[in-house]
Amino acid sequence: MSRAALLLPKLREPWNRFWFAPASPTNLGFCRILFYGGVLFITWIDYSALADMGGAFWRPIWWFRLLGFPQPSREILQAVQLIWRLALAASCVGILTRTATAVAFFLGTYLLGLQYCFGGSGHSRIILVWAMASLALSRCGDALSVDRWIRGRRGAPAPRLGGEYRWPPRLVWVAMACAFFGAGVSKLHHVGLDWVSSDGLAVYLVRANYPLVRDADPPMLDWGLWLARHPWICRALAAGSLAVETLFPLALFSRRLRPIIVIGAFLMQLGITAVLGPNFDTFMWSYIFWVPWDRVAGRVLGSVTRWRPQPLVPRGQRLGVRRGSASVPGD
Amino acid sequence: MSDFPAATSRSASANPGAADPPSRLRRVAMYALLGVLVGGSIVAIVRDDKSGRELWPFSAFPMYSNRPGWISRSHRVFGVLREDPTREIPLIADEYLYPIEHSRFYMAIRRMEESGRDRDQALAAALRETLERYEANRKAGRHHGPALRAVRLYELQYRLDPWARNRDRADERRLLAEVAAP
Repeated sequence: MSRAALLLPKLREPWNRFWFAPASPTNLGFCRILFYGGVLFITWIDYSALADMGGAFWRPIWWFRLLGFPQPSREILQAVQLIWRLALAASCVGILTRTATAVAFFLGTYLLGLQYCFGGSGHSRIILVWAMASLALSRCGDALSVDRWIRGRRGAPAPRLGGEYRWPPRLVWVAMACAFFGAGVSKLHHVGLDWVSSDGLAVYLVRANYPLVRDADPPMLDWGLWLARHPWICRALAAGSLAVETLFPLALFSRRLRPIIVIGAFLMQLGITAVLGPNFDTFMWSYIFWVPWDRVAGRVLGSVTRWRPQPLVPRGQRLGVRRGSASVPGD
Repeated sequence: MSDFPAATSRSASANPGAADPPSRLRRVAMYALLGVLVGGSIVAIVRDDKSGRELWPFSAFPMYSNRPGWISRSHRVFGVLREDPTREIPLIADEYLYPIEHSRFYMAIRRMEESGRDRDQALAAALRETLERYEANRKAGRHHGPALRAVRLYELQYRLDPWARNRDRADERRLLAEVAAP
């Protein structure tokens, strides 16, 4: 037997544990409420204005060309954005959750993609597409939803722990890992380690303070000018950000590194917005998928009622695996 | 919402073997989505087009992926005031360019400039549309900018100063194109 064939069964267990270890439906329910509520708020713009754009800027992205989508009329866009907002609201509170999340994914992908058919594409909102796709395929309405409340009134039992509730947030983790890893590789590909050793970051920090030079929103603070006059701070920040980006996929596999890398990436994006200008609102909102909301809620409830949440698996014990089941020892 | 206590209760954790595995159909759907995400991301990362021609919703996320110099050249559109033709305002605020954002507007202008054939016609059409949209938005009350009689595209050159003391005046300015209101 080849070495790969011997290795595969060994990889299977951690793979299944990563994706399908039993998880609480409550955590996914919290993620659903926060995510769709946030998306509804953050993406509240009038997409129908895009119908008034002339042809000079119309440059459809690849799948608009492939599917033959024309520039839509104002009436169509008004209808699509209204249905999208209703679907986001329904997904948030969990009414007809399966249908609502599917509609939110398809119409949201269309409207967000349409924005990028004028001028050029941007990547700040890509994460929304993958998070909406993940939730649309999941059973995110099994807890903390109106659907669940109705089922409960009809006598349906409360949802149990399940592998169904583990993978959707993890798919968003993978999407974020792809984004950060791509950003790190892109810097290494185009500039190499000079990105750290040169004064490139200092120049970007100064450029951000020139209204007619910068390519993004104005920075929140002018601290970049002070940072730019301290080359060693700039190089340390450049090295740190390059390390966080390229090593971000490790957050998927290492529980020890996960908080360091994820909090580091969050602070890096916060810092970029503060001193360089780009707005990562939707991307930063997606960090909610890293928070164990059921444990947070348990702690909060525990502090109020003196009730302490029990661990999923008592220390020193492992969950039994049913034959043919993808549910494996707890993560 | 009575399901929160059940999800974290002692009875649920005491019998974790009762956890439901995902259905086969859902696992297939999840793997398909994962395959599309990872496969598309790999293609985008290998392709990595800095000019903004991305495979949306896949991307290499090429942010700050070039080597900037202390001498900076940028192309910006200015509006010529109808009341005072000697005065110009830069069209950089999002509300002046609505519904396109500043960054994508100038990405489009740069791409038009780089297109060899039809470059001048494309730029003229884009500037005309920018002027018309600015005026339409102004009349609709979406912004409070002054009325314009023309728009001009300039190439600006700055020698960047670490204190940004020259942020409001370019070292050099070259007119590339101009379109007047009819």
